[in-house]
Formats: sequence, C-alpha cells, structure tokens
Amino acid sequence: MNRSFWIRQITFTGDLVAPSSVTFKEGFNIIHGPSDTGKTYLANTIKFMLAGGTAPFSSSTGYNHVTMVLETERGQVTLERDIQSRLMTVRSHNDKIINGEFPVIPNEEKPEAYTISDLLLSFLGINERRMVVTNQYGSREPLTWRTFSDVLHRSEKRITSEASIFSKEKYATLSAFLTLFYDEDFRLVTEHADPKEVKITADILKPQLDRMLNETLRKINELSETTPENVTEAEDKLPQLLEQYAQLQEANNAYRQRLQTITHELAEANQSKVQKEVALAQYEDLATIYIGNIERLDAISDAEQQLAKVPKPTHCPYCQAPLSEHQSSQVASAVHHEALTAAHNLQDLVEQRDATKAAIMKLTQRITSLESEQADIETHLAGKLLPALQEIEDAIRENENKRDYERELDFYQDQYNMLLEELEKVPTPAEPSTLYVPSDLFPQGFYDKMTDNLRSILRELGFPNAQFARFDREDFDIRINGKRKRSHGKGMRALLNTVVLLALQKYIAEHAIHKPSVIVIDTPTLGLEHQGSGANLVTSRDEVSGRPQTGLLRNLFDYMHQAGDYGQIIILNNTDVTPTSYFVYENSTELVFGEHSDADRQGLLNDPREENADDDSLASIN
Amino acid sequence: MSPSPFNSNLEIATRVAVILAARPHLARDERTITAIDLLTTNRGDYRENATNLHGHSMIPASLTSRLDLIRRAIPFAVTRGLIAPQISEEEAHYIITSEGYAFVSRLTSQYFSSYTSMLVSTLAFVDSHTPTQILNVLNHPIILIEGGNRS
Repeated sequence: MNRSFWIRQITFTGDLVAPSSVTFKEGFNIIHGPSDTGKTYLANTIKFMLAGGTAPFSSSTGYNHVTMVLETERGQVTLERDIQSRLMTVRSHNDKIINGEFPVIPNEEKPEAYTISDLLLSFLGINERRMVVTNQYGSREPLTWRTFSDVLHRSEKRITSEASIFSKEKYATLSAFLTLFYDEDFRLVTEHADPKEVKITADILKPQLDRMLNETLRKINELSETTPENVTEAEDKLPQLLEQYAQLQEANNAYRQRLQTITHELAEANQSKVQKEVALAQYEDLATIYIGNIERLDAISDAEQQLAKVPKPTHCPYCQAPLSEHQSSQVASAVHHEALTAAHNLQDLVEQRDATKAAIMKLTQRITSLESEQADIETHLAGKLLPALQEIEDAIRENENKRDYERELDFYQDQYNMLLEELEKVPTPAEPSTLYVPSDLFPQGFYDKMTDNLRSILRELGFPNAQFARFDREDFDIRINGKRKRSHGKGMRALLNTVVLLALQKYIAEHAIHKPSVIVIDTPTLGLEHQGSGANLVTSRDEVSGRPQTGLLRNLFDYMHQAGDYGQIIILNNTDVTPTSYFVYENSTELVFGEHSDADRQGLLNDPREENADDDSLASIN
Repeated sequence: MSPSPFNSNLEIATRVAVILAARPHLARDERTITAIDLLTTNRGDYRENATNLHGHSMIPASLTSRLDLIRRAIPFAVTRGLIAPQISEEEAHYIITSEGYAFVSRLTSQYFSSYTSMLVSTLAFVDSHTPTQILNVLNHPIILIEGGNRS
C-alpha cells in the first residue's frame, strides 16, 4: 500500500463526560447505524481536524475536545484541538515533526506562520508552501488541505450534488489536484488583473484624479492671473538686499551696543554726582559750624572784656560768706588758638568744597555730553537706521513673495503633470488574451485513466451501460451514454458521485506524485433506497433485517472494501441501506451504532445525562 | 594747655545773663533758662528755613548736656554779680542784676547781636507755653511758627 497517512483513532473528551473513541483501520472502514447516532458528527470531526472550519458538534453534547491519532511514515502523530479553538496541538516522537500549537491553515494575521495544513501536506511530500491559482486571471493563494478536502470528504449534504465533485468552477481546487497529481508549479502562470477589479479601481480612481486635476488647473490659472511683475529681477535682487540688510543690522547692533554703554556710564556719572552733591551739602553745614565758632570766639572775647568791668560781689549771694579774689580770666590765649584752628579748618573746607564743586561741574559736563550722544544715536536710529531697515525688510519680503510665487506655480505645474501621469496609469478594464483554464492543464491521459477507472468500477458494480461511461473534459464529471449526471435522480447522483470519488482515489493511488489517502463519504447511497430494486440495485434482502443482500449496492460496498487497498476509506451510512456483509478483516473494520443487540455501541458520543445517571454505561465505551 | 573757650562758664554765663536781661522783671529757673538757650542757639533744628547760630550739625544738641552746662555756669554768673538767685522752698529762680544788665548792654559782638535777635522769638514762644509743652517740643523737634503757634 502507498499511503501518506491514515487516521488511526479519534477520541472525544469533555469535562463531565467519559471519553469516547473510534478506532479505524488502514483500509475500509464502515460506520453505520440509524439516524441521530452521531455519524455526521464523525464526518464533520474529520473535516474539522484536517481542514479546519466550524465546530463539528455543539459543546452542549458535553464534549469539547478532539484528539486524532494519525499513522504516518514518520510514526504516530497526535493532533488535539478544542472545538472552540483556532489552534491545534501537535505531538510526535519524530524529530522531524515540530511539536507545538499551530493554526489549522494560514491566516491573514500571520500568513507565513507554520500551520497544521503544512504538516499534513508534508506527509504527502509537499515540504514547501505552494500556491494555487484561484481564477482565470492567475490570482494565487496558498495551497492548503482545505483547498481540496471537500472533494475527498463528501458530506451528506453534497453527496447528491449535480455539480462535479471537483467543483469545476473552483480554480483553486483543480489547481490543487494539478499539484497533487503532477507537482504542477503555478509560479510561472501569468497573473492578470481581474477586469472587474480593474473596473472598480478605475471607477474610483478616475473621478478622484479628474477632480484633483481640475483643482490643480484652477490653482495654476489663479496664480497665472496674479503674476507679479519682474519676478526674475526680484529673485536676482534678493541676495543684494539681504546683504544690505545684514550690514544695516550690524550697524544697528553697534549703535545699540554703544547706547548700552552710554546708559551704563550715565548711571555711574549721575550716582557719582549725587554723592559729591551730598558731600558738598555737608561741607556747607560744616562751614556754618566753623563760622559760628568764630563768631562765638569773638563774643567770648567781648564778654571777657566786659566782665572785667563788672564790680565783683564781696560776699556769696547764697551763704553771705566772703568771696575770695577771683582769678583773672585766661580765655584769651585759648580763644586765639581756637580762632587759628577754625581759620585753618575753614580754609581746608573751602579748598575741599571748591574741588568738589569742580568735580560736580565736570560730572555735569560728562552727563550732558553722554545725554547728547545718547540723543544723537536715538535720533539716528529712529530717524534713519530703523526706517532704512524697515524699508529693506519690506523689499526683502516683497521679493520673497515673488520668489515663492514662482515656486508655488512650479509646484502646482509639477503636481498637474504627476496627476496626468497617474491618470494615464489607471488601467482600462480589458479581458486578457490568455486565460488560465485549469482543466486544459490536465493531460489527456488523466481523462483516459479516469474513464477507465469509472468503467471498471461500474462494471464491478454490475452497472448497466458501464462501457458507455466516460470522464468528460468539459464537465469534469462522469457522463453515461452522453448523459450528464443532472439528468439522473438524487439517489443515482449520490451513487455516481461516489463512483467518481472512488475512480479519483484509484487514480491518486496509481498516478499522483502526492497522494492524499483518506477519503470520507457520508451516506454514499443517500436517496438510493427510495428507488426500490430498479436497475438491479437490490436483488435480494436479508430476511430478518431487510437490508440489501445482493445487487448493485452490495457490489458497491464490496468494491469499496477492496478499494481500501488504494487508501483509507471511511464510510458513514444508515444501517438499513447498508448491505449485509462481513467487513472486519486485518485492514478493514465495521462499527455499528444503535440500540439493537448487534450494535457495537449506542452512538458516537455518550449522553451526559445518562453518563451522570448510570456509571455502568462506561463499560460500553471503547 | 588752656581749656576750650567753647561752652566755658564765661560763654554760658554770658548767654544766661543775656536771657535774663531780655525780660529783666522775670525770674527764671535753670530748666527754663536751658530751654530758652537751646531753642535760641539751635533755632534751625525746630524751625523751617531757620539757621542755627552754632551752625548745622548732623547730631542735634542735647537738652541734658546743655542743662549740665547751664547748672555749672549759673554759680559762675552769680559769683560774678551778673545774676542773683531767688531761693524759695521749691526751687531756685534767677533774675538779672543791674550790674548784669549793664554788662549785657555793653556787649557789641555780632554773635550776641544775633543771639539777642533770635531770643525775642524764643521768649515769645516760651513765655506763652507751659513747661511741659516746651519740654515736649524739645524732645520731639517740630517746626515752630513765628509767634509761638505750632504747625
């Protein structure tokens, strides 16, 4: 056998329920039972674990965790996933397999991140991320397990589909099979813009660019109408004006520096003058004291002379005691000495006062001179320099405005040209001359082999006109005697879809480079039971169960049993339309759900209510 | 070295005699005499636009030190017959003697001429106010209006 991997076991667990497991074999696996026993849950779970998608069953079942054991060339690999989680855990003992938690397929947030799909494709020998073409214009997206899984995993809803199981309109699916069959590399496929998308882009861009062009043109016209005169001359004159301005500014700064010095010197001179004026006032006061002293000395001398003429009392007026002769006054020499001292002091004072007055006068002249210079500078600044500066500033501003006008005009003209170029770049919606047609890339040999496979399978089934069956290139589907599948009833369509899938399985096993080897078919004979025994569907039935015993249906299941050699087949079916046969061998198995005595178990999942009510039910698990 | 003639007993006694001679019928105690002398020599300290007879000093004259000078000079004046004491139970008052009056009338210096002139104004104030009011003025110099009114 040539298998990339196959499903060994699936286990369902939950916090309040006993685990429930289904064990598979490498080849044919049939799980059948009455309705509502969880068969579709199982099909959904396989898809959920291999291809992602929505939760396979409700968490109200009590189960919320799935563990799937795969058998691969690299040994057993265990995948685990919560049904509400986007991530899946990988566990393996093989060094070449990365253990950890990964998303199922690439997502937009981290498109390059490693995924479960990458792991599964690596089991097929696809070790690098590959691209598939998604439309006739060559657009691409990464190849994932999900790209082709719907073909290999036929759900109950789509088993009766009128369309090809390849979903021919799905370019990505056919591209995926080209990769699986022939390792087709789509990097060389020319990618064209989708005319619809081009039209949408053009519809958005063109009016916007037109609007911007008109606005720019309006601005250019507006500027052109207000063109200032002598723009070029102004631009030439600007450096000269700027130099003049710098010179005047330098002179202005020098004058201001001088004004600052003058102000400082004035403050110092005024302070010194005030100090000297205070000193002079003090000298004046001192002079009055010296003059007073001289006058007092004169008066004392006068008094001494006049006192000498006054007759002296002989007795004390207080006590009437006789008075001794008074000593003659001796103030004359002291007066003379004091007078000389006072004269000298006065002379010194006069000299000091004159020197101070001279210093004050000098300071006054200095102050007058400084104030005059200050006034002159201020007059020069206010009257000449500052107006000249203002004049040049105005001229510079005017010239700059003219220069800016030129630049603004240039800017809008550049913008206009750029917008024109952008407008020319807006693509015109047109259908490309060569379109990608994936069905053309399948070689004639594929169609021939598929036709051979269909015919041999139908012959095995005992299908009438099997030799007129063929795999049609246009439909990418089976035609029998030229009739399309949609001309048949629902039950026959289910049968034919199953046959096409089995033919594909055989083709993959025999010819594909990369071999996905698990196919799942949910209710392969859906609706066929209503067709009674026509077309040799059922030629005899089991007397007890009423299940088909011989006929086309029986042949189908016998073929599928044999086809387990091409790869793992998992069939989910209702018991009453499942032929009675013995399916349990080394590489095949049968699991029967139901209440009856022949059933292996009640259903896929245990009812949590029953679980809580009766612990003995654990015995029926596994 | 001879003692300084300034503030000598001769100078102060002469000024006391001039004060008492200005209103010879009035006897004055030593405090009143001191106040009159201080207000006369330092007129500029108490009146706007007035000059001090002894010149303008940054440090105003002190009533206490002037009283010491007067107290020392009064015995000099009494023993020279310029003034005479009138002793009562409370306090001694002094009055000009006829010899003292003649002494004063003979003084011719510019200083005493100016002193006598300023004394007229001082006496107009002193003789129209109580001793307490006068003391208050001396302790808190203010500007006096001519004739004794205060601004």
